[in-house]
Amino acid sequence: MTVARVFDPTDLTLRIVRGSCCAFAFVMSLSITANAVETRSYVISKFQTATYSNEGNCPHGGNGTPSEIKERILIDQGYTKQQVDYIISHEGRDENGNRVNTGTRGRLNGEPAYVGNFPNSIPDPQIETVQGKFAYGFNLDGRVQSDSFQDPETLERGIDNQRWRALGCFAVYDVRRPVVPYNEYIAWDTAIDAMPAWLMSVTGDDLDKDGDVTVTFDRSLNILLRDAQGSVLPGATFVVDSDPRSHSSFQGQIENGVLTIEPGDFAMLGESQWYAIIRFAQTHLRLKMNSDGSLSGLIGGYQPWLDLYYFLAVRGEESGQVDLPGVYYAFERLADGIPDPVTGQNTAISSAFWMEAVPAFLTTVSGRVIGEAVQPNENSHVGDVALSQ
Amino acid sequence: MRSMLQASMLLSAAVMCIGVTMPRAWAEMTFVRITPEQYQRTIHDVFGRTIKVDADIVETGFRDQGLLAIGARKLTLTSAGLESYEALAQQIAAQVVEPQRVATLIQCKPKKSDGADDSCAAQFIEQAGLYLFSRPLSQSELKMYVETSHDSAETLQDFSAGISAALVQMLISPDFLFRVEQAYPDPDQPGKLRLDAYSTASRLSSFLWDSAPDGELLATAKSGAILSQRVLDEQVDRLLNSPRVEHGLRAFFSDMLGFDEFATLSKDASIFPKFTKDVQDAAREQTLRTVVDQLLDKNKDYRELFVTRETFLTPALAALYGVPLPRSQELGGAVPWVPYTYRDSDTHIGLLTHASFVALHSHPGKTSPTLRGKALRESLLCQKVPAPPGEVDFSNFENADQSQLKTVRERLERHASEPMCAGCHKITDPIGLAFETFDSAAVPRTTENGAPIDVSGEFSGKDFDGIVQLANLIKDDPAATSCLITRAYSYGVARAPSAQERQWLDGLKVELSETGVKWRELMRRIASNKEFYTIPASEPQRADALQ
Amino acid sequence: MSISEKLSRRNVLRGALGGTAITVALPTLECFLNTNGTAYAATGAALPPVFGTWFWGLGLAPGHWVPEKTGANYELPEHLAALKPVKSKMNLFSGMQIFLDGKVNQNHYSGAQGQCTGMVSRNGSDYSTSIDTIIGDHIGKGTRFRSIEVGCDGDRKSTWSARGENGMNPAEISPLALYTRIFGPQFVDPNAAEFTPDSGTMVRHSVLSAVSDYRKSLMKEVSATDRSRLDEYFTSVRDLEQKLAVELEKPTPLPACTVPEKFEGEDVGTLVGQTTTTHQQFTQLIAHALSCGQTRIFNLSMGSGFSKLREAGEAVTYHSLTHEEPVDPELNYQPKCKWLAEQHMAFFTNLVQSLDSIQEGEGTLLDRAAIFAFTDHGEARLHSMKDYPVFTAGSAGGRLKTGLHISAPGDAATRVGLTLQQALGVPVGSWGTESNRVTKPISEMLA
Repeated sequence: MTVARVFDPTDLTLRIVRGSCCAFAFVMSLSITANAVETRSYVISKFQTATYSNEGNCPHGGNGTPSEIKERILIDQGYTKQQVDYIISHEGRDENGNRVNTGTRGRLNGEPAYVGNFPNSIPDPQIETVQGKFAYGFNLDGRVQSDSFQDPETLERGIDNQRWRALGCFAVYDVRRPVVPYNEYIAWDTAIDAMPAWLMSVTGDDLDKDGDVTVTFDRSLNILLRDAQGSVLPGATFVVDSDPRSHSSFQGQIENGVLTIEPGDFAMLGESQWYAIIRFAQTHLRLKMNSDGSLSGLIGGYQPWLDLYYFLAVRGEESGQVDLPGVYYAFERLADGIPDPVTGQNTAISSAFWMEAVPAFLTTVSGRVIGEAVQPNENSHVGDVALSQ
Repeated sequence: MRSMLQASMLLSAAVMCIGVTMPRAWAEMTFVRITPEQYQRTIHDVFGRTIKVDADIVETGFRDQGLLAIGARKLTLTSAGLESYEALAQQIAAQVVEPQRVATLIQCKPKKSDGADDSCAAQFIEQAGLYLFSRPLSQSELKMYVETSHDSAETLQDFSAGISAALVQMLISPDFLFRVEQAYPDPDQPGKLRLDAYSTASRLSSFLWDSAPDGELLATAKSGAILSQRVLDEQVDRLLNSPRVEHGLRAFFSDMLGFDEFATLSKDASIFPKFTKDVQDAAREQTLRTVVDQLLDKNKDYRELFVTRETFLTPALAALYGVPLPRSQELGGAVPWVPYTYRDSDTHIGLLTHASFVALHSHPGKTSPTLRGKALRESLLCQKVPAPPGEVDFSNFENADQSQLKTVRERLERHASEPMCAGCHKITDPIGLAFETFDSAAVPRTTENGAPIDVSGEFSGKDFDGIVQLANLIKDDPAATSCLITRAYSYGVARAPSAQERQWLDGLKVELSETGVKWRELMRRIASNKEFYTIPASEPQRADALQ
Repeated sequence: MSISEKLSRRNVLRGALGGTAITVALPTLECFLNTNGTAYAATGAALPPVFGTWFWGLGLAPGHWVPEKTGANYELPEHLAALKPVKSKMNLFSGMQIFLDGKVNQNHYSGAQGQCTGMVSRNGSDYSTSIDTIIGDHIGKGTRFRSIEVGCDGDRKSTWSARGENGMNPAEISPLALYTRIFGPQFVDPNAAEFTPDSGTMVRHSVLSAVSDYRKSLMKEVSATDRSRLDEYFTSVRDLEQKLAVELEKPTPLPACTVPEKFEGEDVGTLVGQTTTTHQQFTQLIAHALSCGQTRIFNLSMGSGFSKLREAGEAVTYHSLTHEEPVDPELNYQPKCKWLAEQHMAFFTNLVQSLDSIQEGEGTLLDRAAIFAFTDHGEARLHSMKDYPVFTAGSAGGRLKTGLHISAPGDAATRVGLTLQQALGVPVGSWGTESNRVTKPISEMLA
């Protein structure tokens, strides 16, 4: 395992742990006041772990489905195979009708402890981790090493994605796009009808041409709207929340219709049903600008691995479909970024998500339009909205 | 909000007409079917807004000479329709006699709850009858409903069940399901008939409020005062200054603009994912809200509706139209209507660019300049477009190589080369093609299949390029004003105007075109005109009166 | 109107409504049906339609059940092969969805609720009146049982039938108990029925009679043009009066009615084999109950959406499998789930054949039936609310066409419910709430 020491640890502590409290909150609105530039804006319509199911990922057969995970846990606890079959086929009850709670298998001071909250209250179950050659993501540390992956599409080497290594052998993550890991599908589909939408904007001289751009991310005060088929509705308007905790800004480039950024920090508040917060350090982005005006591709970087663990812990082992202590120990073991200045333990893990975004108008709270939804064959509308009366 | 029935118990003994036999002096009795909206509004006015009225189950009716209101004079009630109304009546009656309502709606206390009390039932029936029929019940009618109530209460051993049965009988009676107009020979104009006082009040409130008369209007009918010009003028002003006039305005424009077609509007969700159910419901409301805002709240000229940049949008509508709409609606809140003004450079101008026009008059998966042109001619200019011939070979049109003919204009030109088709398509297509910058779902566009869209044409001898210019031509076309005035009058009398009435309307048109086509003024002029309450001599007279 | 006429009518009504049962001595069984056996000979009225719902959980294998062609000449995909024997007597709908309108997806609940009641509630405790109740209020009057609800998985809560917001009707789960309830000592052969008319219906009837009587006085004063319109109105009043009068008459014998043999035993459980037997027993009972006029409405549920069905030896239930079994990358489906879904198709065929096996004149009981089959999710694995498979079976006495595959991508699935209500004569113009509210029936299937 390699530790990527690319940050000043002190700086990182400020940024990730305390959140971004200051200066750069209103960069976006300032950055597009010049007349010569155009700003296209978007609302994020898909966000899912960039999985890559592949033969050879898990030579020992993987960590299995929830039933298989449960079976293994019960056998570890001393149940016979026959008893385990009975419990699993009777909705978690044993022959005497008593509920068998595997969640409280931890021990703290001799008392049962819930392993979601106290994952290290049991020894490391040593889950299987991904051994395959390929994974989506970015080369975050600029090095090609024995534990890096190769991107299956760009064939770039040196891909850092230790989060995928930790999770990829659970059946729920052993899928390929367009299939979404079940636990994320449910969480996202439920969250978007209630969660403030995630926004993005790209500003540059001419976004149809190659060149330098500024890319910003913000959260909205509004939720997503759905179209007649239940997908995310393009062309809707979103008010930008001025909360700096969900604002980030990057210098970037468009080259051959592909948008990338200079690495920097990213933070976005979510909801408890979904990720409570998504944070990346050393953020990388690679999005294709599609002909219908939408964007699609990868975002990645080093993420505080506790953020990622909490997403699963909140769901529990049943609907998270993982072995929680197993994931916890694997994250801890595989973490490869942002070492704690005192202990030296890495606090972040390399990671990548697949994301898509559709055109959307952005406005300030006062109604000033600051980003345009560019949909092919539709009119241009940047400018102040005249609210009648 | 207190229902009329409750209010009447407290206030208006003056209106009550207990036991008085109605004078049977009229010479003519005609029937106009009430609309589902009028039905619902009347029930709410009489028994309170908490009564659930599932008026959707009721048939809408048919359009005659451009208006459902004229069709309503020819509409009868089918077996299925009556069955719907009976089910609806049962539903309403059951709610009226629910314990929490019965105490306020039935003022007397029955002698026993498990049987009949004719005198208490009569009090309720008399009141309900007055407001439901917009006239007092005759002695024999009262007796009939009390008998129904008596028999049912005894049979089911329940006073409320008796009230309920009598109410059902009233609600399915032709006296309620139709607006009954009774006329008598006009003393001022020999050979003509004019409406009696109650029918005058009914026609007036139906015209301005889309509902039955309230207590005050009924009082002027009872005293006969409504037949005097002075009191009529007073009442017209009172009704026009009531907030309820918005119901009347909405009902009229829904009829004139053919919004009943929304019931069967369908867009292919895979081609037009932005055309959600929300959008479909909002499209109609967008237009009605705009009309209310312009004509009532701002007292603008009707002609401005064609060119106003002001409207109201919801978040989903704004996404459909491709415009930014700042919204403040937060989680769980109702969809807000936000006032919105298009810029002068936009192609969105006036009612004709609303989804309620361009999407309503399109096919589920593609636009139709022919349908749009026809709707504009017929609904807003009162011009008749002939029906298409029966046998046309469409193969030339439908099978045309799309790679060669990219735009609708090119395909229609091929179509119009058929001599049989050319005549009518000349009427509809040139103006319909001006709307091609809006696709079938009202989403703006500049190209079709990659080819630029040509929106130039000619209307009434004047060239235009694009919808903005066409909208201005329509605004200035005298036909637009004259169409509104004729439709409004026809809507009120539920028939086409007579030759004599047309003359009067022509004069009104000239006058208003100069001073401004203001909604309240137009309504006031029509409703205060005594001719509005007459029946033209040319209309069929009562059969046995002629025998 | 003549008061004496009215009084005499009222006297008759009062006599009839004395509160005691009217015992009518019937002649010995004769040929009450017309020569085709499809209608009552005396009145010429067709045998009444019957309606049933059939619920199965967890849908079908996505991407493997939609036929390529629409209309009458479609071919059943391999996944639906079990439906082949009844293909010509049923319809298959694809592409429809249930809208949540921003509400949380109550998994395995919201979708079935939407199709069965037209509304989707904010939480899993709210419900509404279900389609069988709406239709039953219209066609089900005067039968011994307002409706019959059964569940095949031993769970009384597995039905979707309800009136109002006070929860669902409990399901009968034991075939033996249902046998006793219908064909036990209380069963009266329709040939010798003692008959008590419904007093509520009599009151409705008398109200309509009173409106009819009003005609004479009104007609005197109406203009000639309006006279014919008013005549039509009064004809409509008389039609309804007549319909209610029929409901007040004694029942007509039903030659097709036979009492089924009592079962040797039952084996209620969640194994596929157990469910097969239980379902067969229930369909037999329901078919006989319908043909004997005991009810016109039934609700048959394979079990809740969280289906506990499993094959012997399989450790997890069907529901768990939908979320856990991997999608086979070669086959592009979940093999075990697909197999279980196919078992359900065989169950549905069994239900349709049970009704079709009861001969009534030249036709069968199925010919006057309409069966509505629905499920909880389009793709159960993802709790999808789109691409619902929906079926109907039977032609509702000639009101419905059959043998069709109807594709309605994106449409609210409530259109099927609206169409069935209208086909069975329920006077509704729309059904459902919010985005699931529909106003257009599926005209292709209306005969």
